[in-house]
Amino acid sequence: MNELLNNPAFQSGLLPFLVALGAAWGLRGRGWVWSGLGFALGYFASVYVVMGMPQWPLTSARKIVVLGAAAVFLGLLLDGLAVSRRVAVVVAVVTALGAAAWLVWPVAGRREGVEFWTLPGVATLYAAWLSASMTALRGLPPQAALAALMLGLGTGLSAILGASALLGQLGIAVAAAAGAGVLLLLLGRPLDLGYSHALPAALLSALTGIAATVYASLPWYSLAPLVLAPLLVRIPLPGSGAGWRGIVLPGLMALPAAAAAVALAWWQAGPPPF
Amino acid sequence: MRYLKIVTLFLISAMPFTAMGAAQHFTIDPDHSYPFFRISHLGFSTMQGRFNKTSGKVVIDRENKTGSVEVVIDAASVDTAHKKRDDHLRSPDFLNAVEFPDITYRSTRVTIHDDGSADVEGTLTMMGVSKPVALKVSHIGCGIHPMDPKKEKYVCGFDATARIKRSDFGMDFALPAIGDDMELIFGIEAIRD
Repeated sequence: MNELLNNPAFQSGLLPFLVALGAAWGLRGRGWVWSGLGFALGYFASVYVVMGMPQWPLTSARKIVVLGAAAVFLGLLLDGLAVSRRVAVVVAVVTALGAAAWLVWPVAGRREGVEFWTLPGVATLYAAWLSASMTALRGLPPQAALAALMLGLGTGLSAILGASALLGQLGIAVAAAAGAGVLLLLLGRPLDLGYSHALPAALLSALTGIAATVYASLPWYSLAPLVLAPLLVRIPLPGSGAGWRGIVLPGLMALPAAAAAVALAWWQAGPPPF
Repeated sequence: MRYLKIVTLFLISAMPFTAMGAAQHFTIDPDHSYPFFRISHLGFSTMQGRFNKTSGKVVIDRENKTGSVEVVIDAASVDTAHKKRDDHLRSPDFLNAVEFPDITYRSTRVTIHDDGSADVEGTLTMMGVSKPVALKVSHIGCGIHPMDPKKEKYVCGFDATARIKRSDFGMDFALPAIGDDMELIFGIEAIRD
């Protein structure tokens, strides 16, 4: 049992996928909009076995977990208050700006002049864009689930190549938990993914990627293709209406963004060091 | 009688200065001071590495058989003769060197024994976590540096060892495959100020 719990593939792949699937299924009686919580439960189950409970001092990885939990509650609040998409996007942007600034502050605070502004500037813009573009996918469950899947996959695999297995596992856990939503959609379940799914999925992917560039060795440009993922899933394709095509085709559209991120990380760093 | 009082007062007032004078202050020589570490690698072998940048201060007071030591290690200078592994060791998986650039050891109590060995109690701070760690100093060797043409450079050096559990400092990635127990070996030389 211990061997299984210590296996990274189980910790950040199978476990979050199964927990997210079970939770989404169990929460279906509360309305499908709540099934977004399944994503959160799957992700945090993975975090628990990988990192344990958040402790002091708040390292970058622990900050990501704390901010992800805050994003879930904020998403639930936005869902509960039934705010307009525009308001939700504004809230997501403000949240992402603050979260990314807090994450990079230990490094930015040691820099001066232009360098002081460059890192927080780029990091907050990246987080804000992903959070805004993912929040805007509300009402498009296949696109939202697939974009989260690709963001998690691209971020996680890139982070592993960028010499942090821990951040890589956190990214892949996002993909695995989002993958449960994709499977339910493929099975024809009416999954209505709310802000409680979009906001944490976007923020967790963004912050994990930022941490991998700032605190590990991931080159910043390997994250650049990922900004396209929430846009690529929106591209309408002939025959991509209802049914499995409506789920598989947007995924195929966004796949190049994740693949390009991983390829750039591989090109710069080569195979992982472990 | 009056002279005796003056002499007594002088001796009493001079005592603290005598004690202070016995304490010698040193600055760690970064070119001859390296902290090493040893850790089990997957149960196959013992991985060894070192930190290439170290600074700090040492005080040795042989008369009072005490002193102090303060070592600052640049976490990013970790070197295991393998760049990719070193990058990984610097990452949040292990040392988290960008977020916590310094590893520090500050003594709280030093006991120098008659045979030149010493016991040091102190606090090791790594990744923002401080824990008490005891150092065992095998021998303190001091003298004029033989390569100094002026014969003025007075150097003291020592080898010290300690054992820690990395998980105590929040470094719990890849446990238990990569060992929890770490042996720290300090080879320190310091030049008198």
